[in-house]
Amino acid sequence: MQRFFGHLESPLFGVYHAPRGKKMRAARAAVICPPIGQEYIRTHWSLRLLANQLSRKGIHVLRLDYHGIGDSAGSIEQIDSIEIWENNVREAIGHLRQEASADTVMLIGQRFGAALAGSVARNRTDVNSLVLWDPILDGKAYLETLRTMHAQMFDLWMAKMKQTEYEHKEEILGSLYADSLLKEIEAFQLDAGSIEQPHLIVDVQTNAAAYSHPEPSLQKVILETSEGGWDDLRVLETARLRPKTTRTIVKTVDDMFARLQRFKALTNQPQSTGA
Amino acid sequence: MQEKVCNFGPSESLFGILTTPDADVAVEGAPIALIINAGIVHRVGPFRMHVDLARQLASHGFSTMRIDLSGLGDSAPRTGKIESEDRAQLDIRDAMDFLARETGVQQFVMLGLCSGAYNAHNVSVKDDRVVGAVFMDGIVFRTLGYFFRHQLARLFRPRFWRNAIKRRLIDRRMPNVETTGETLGESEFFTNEKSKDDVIRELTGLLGRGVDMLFLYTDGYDDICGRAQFQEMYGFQPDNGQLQVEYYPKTEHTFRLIENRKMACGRVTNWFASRFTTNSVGEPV
Repeated sequence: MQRFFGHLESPLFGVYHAPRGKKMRAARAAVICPPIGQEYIRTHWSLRLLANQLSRKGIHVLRLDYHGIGDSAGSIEQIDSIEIWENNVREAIGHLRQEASADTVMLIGQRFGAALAGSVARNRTDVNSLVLWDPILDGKAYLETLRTMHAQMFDLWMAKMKQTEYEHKEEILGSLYADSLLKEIEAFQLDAGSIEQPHLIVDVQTNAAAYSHPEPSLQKVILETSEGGWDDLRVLETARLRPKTTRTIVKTVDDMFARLQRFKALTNQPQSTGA
Repeated sequence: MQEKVCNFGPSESLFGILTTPDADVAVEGAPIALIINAGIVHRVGPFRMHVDLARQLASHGFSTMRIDLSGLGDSAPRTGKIESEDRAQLDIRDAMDFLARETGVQQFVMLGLCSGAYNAHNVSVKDDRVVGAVFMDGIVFRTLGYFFRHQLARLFRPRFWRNAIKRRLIDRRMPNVETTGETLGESEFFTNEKSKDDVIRELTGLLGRGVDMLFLYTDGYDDICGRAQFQEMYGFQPDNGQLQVEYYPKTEHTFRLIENRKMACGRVTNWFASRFTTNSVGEPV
């Protein structure tokens, strides 16, 4: 069910997937935080499939578009701070908790959406767990990749072109970003080892070895079945589907919820948990 | 400007977002534009172009609905054995029926890029409620002029060879993602099975019906080169009235660059305003 929510002047767009199948004793709910920029468009199809499959496991799911992205209000060039998107995620958590009558939610983020999920989850007792899919841990490296692809796109343009200069803004792969936002993304670091909730990380083999957590039972890492292609200009406009990985995530999320329920961690009182 | 979620079609399983202008700028009696998916990109359009277009048109007083055809974006697939092309036409007609019921408006303008333009063409031909259409990189046929201007001329351009070599080097360096079976490209969703004569006949019909048309073509669309090709293909002389044609050199098929998108959105908005705003005696402004 598609909907606008939040402030009337500047609404957020989201799609709510009602749970199907048997009713759970405690509500299971998950907010999906998509990537930003062109990656948002590339992953729309795949995140919709993920949401559908999760809802078949009895989970309430809300897919969110941040301000300036997708069908939500505003344009991306108006976003001058990461905090705006973090607040969007907070608003989505509140909205889903109310819709699902859930005390707590899981945050599922992909790429920069995973970075936002990890950042928002800090010190929140109403986030019971996280899934970080191909997460951006280092904002500087992320921007470098995007800028390299942008430069390559210009280099391979059909005719020699001069890039348009924008005051206090920068065009990267079809989106215009405010300098202040880019500065914040550049400084952004997510330390997966400091995440307090049980979390699942989905990443490619080459990145997977770097993950560790002082409490190993809180972190599970599964491998992507094929390389990311996030740095490949040739697939800039190709939908990114990962059906096998999606099925693995759904199965693992179902298992995570079962464990959270066993440890009574779906209610808003912190308990000791194990992933 | 207001944006509203709309569910329509069989069991309200299809989805679109209706963007309406503020009352003080709304153009009375104007048709509603339907923005149709380009390839498999959901309703926001490539690089969010459909959202920009919808909001820009609303700021000039026009309503639009950007829709997801069945099986795309957030619309459910249609059940039953229906050809993909017919399915798209049924979806678009359902959208028009819904809007007619909800708003009372009985006239529509089709807007589409690539496969969206193809679907827009098919619906425009068959449905008299369509009074205007914007075809962006729609149906084209290669001509002799195309062969000289594009195929032959590019062989003499150093940049063509330079880019070809660079692309080959990139292909060697990067893994072949297209063969993994885990990606979906646009090409799988748009096959033109019409002959040139069919299209000429259909366009003649549209012109006869008084349908206003704007054709936008880009350099990045590999089968057309230059505005002149339009006349070479169809024999119609574009004008500044009912049949307008624009060709954007140095522009990618999906309007990747912000500057290009602004240019196209501005052109469509101006066209809309000039063709569908009438003065007190009902003449176009």
